[in-house]
Amino acid sequence: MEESLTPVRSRSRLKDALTGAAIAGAIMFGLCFPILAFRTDQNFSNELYLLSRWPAVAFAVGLVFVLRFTMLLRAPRAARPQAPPSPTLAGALQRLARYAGGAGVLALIAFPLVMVALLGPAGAQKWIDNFGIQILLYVLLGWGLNIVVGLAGLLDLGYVAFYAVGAYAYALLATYFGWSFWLCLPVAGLLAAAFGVALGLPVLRLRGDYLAIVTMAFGEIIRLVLTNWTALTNGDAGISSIPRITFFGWPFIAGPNGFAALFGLKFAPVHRLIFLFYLILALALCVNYLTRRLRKAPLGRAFEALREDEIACRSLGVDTVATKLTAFALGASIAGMAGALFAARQNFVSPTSFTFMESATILALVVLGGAGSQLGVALAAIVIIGGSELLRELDGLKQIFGPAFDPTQYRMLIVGIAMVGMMNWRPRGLIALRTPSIFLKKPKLVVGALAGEGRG
Amino acid sequence: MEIFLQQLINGVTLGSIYGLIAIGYTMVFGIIGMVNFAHGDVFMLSAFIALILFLALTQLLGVASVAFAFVIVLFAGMALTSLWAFVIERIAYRRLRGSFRLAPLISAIGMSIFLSNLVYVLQGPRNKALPPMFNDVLRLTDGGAYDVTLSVKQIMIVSVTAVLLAGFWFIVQKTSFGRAQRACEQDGRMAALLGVDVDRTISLTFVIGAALAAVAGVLYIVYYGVINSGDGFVPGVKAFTAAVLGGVGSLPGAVLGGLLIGLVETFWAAYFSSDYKDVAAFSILVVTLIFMPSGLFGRPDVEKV
Amino acid sequence: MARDKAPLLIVDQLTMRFGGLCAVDALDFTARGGEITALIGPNGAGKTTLFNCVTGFYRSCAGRIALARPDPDSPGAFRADWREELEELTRSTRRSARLEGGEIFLLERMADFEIVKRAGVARTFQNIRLFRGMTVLENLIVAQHNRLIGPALDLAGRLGFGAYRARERAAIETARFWLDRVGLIDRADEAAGALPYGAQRRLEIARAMATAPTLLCLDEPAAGLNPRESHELTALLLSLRDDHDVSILIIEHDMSVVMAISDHVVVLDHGVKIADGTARDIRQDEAVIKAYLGVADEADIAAMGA
Repeated sequence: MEESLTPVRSRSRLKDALTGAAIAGAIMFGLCFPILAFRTDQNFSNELYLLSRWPAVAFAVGLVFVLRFTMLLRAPRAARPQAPPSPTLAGALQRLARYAGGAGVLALIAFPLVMVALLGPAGAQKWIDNFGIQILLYVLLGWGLNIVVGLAGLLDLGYVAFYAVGAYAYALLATYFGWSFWLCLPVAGLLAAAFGVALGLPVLRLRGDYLAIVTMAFGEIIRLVLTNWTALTNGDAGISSIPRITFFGWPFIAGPNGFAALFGLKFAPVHRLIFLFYLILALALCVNYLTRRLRKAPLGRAFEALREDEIACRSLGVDTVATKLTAFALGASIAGMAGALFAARQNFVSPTSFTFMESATILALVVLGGAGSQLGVALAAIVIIGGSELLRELDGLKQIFGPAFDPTQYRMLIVGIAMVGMMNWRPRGLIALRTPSIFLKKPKLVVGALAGEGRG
Repeated sequence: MEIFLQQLINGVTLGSIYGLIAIGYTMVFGIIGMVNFAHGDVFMLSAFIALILFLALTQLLGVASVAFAFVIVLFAGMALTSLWAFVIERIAYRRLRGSFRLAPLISAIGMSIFLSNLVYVLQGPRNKALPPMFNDVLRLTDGGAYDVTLSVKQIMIVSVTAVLLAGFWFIVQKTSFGRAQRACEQDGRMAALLGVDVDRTISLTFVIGAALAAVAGVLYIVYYGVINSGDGFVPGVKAFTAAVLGGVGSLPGAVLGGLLIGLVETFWAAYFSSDYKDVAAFSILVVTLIFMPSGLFGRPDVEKV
Repeated sequence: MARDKAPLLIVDQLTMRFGGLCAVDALDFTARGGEITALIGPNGAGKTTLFNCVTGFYRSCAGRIALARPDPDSPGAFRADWREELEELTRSTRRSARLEGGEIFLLERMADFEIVKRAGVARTFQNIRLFRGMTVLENLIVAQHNRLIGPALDLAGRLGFGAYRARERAAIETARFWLDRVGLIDRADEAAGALPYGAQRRLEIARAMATAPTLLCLDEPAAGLNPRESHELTALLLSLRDDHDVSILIIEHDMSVVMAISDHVVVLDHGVKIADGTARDIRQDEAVIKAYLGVADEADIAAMGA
């Protein structure tokens, strides 16, 4: 029986797969048709004309056809049941994560020194700045947002506003009043926290997706004000020549009063970057330590309970408004300090650094890393930010894609796909396990699927 | 007085475009309770499709009649944009129904980022301008300090919007799709038990919303003549504001909200400062959500305990 | 039946409307300390709405909800009749007043979390609301949030340092006690969402008790339980009343449970009180039988008659 049926079945399956693949190919053609098939370009009199790209369309359609065909052929009809994540595997991952964390910190401490040793003080600059400092800033931002989104379950789409407040606080206080960086750093954090409370107070009773939209609107309002209030902020031109960071008062300059002379070193601009790197690293580790501590404290448990079920929280006497505000303020103050560090790194701030896309990128780090997981967020930052910087380094790519090739645009393209894919594949993120904050006998990991919905 | 009348005309034109986009937000929110964050980018994409189709028709195929080209672009643009919405719903949202609440929103944000950067990568960073068309202008007042004009474009935009809204209203009120749509809005699970194909209804809702956004996209490119890959975000937010202002889930509310936002924006720019016109729109969004979350026509959202 | 106990909860002329619908209409009733008061009535009678008004989730449209909380250390010292002080409090704009041996509150003037924190009203929900992704123990620890965070200025404690240690040990002891009491001690480290239904119901009661309430409001605690579990629930509730000095306000459809434990039954129909008395009085009340005959099944009538 089986044998006689098999050829028929496989022939009909082949036919089905071919039809399905043809439909998918046709749909792909419809999607590609004007937008990929023609590129608009300006001629000398600034009129648009069309350049056709039919080979690219053929390639895209063919690719979809083949992929769909193999997919249909391999997995006929019945969807495979999804295996639940096994607790043993999860446990192993978690143990690995513990070691990975320690090893990661060691690697980070060694990173600038290794770079200098390998590439010399001048050659290491770019790597320490573009990779080290930039990634660490994003890790810091990701960890800050993780308190708001990952722990308290409040979706904040305007997080970059607090980053901007911190950056402009340092830029303005340092250039107008000559305040030192060391005074500005906590002030930037406090100011951003104050903004967090002021913005949070009216909006925190909104339901999740409305909260997300309102925070996004606030983020945009702050950026638009920074752009248009030219008297204070110099508008789109930004604020330049922000004082550089000093080593607790000793500037990083050549000469007898500089940092190099203080320690009897030969002056090199990389010293400033290394110092900034360690400073951000220290701050990030502090934030990490406090967040871990927080999870085992009543406030952190209240955050998580809030994410699980706000109404139950209220029925147990938890002041949900105050709790949410605290989460908002904590997250905002971290972004504020990160902003001050950002301004100190660039010596320049302008509103274009604080667009919605920046908020979306930080949110993507939290989402892709697994909301609530500190290590996951750090890994996501390394992969996404580091990856796109690495793309920029590959000069060969410019020869393939032409001189206009801009990897940061591809970065956002990939971030977009990754966010959609992650939500479909693992809505809880890569490391979707929760370690209980307290236990009687033995801590058991909680599988992400049980964790709460989050209201916003 | 003349300035007021002129701004009124401009505001209604702009408001029609916002209203068309807002319907997509409000319908999708009504049926699956999700803010379709990528809708503004679908609108931007449709404007690009329209731009390229215009160029293809006039330059490659040599169509001389602008009106004829406009009709073809309108319908082809609606069809192609609908296809996009169909695929987007399939890929980014369908599997997430019933997942945790923020998953569809995050997926939609990802889709929005993807679409705007896809167009950027495929069409380049520059503003794309179409040669002006339908340039005739009617002079409504004469001899005063200021001539009030009504352009053919504006008449076209308002009338196309009105006709399409009427057709759309008919679909939602009178057809079996409309009935299924309203049933799913009330209670999706119950509708499914009663034999409504919920997947298909939701899919169609996305498609219709996108088709109306495509109309807005075509009208936008005809009216302004310029589009950029980053232009989905701000009109999208304004249309969303319109949907919230009108009451999320309410179709007449979306249209009225769109008109209000269009008027506020043009009057703000005319009488106060055009620098802060986006701040005004965003502020309306914030204020509405905080103080009047059910909008003008929305159902009050009683918290279930 | 002892009717000389002090009133604990006094509801006067409470009205709650949603748009045109009047869910609770000028309702009066009194629940006494140390008693189990049952609220019964057909679906849509306004029972859960009343609960939501008492616990502050809804702001009532009109009426007064007053609660007395005797000091836990000296339960005997509180006076039995506090009506006079209540009138005085109502005339003022304050939310609470100190009396000898206790405190009285006007719940309609308080926010939901304050009602739990200060007035000691805990509740459970008709559709269970646990922190599903947190463990059973964590659920009970969150319930003791206000005791755990301690004084407002103890910032170190808030981050888990200093005097917090001792408070946390006490909280774990409380949690252990209540988990033991509801038979969940062996599952303390499991995720709450992974528990079977009956255990989730018990956990929700244990969690409410961990807030150390004066009044416990239970919204259909026996729904979905099998007969053995209902029987255990009955025993648990009686023991809460007798051994732990908690008064209970309970909404329940299972008449065998209601009849077995209630000291006092209030019957609602369409937002209006149609009967009020001991379980025995209610069983014979014409209006109640009529209201129930329309909707309830035979078993309910049989249970009432039993």
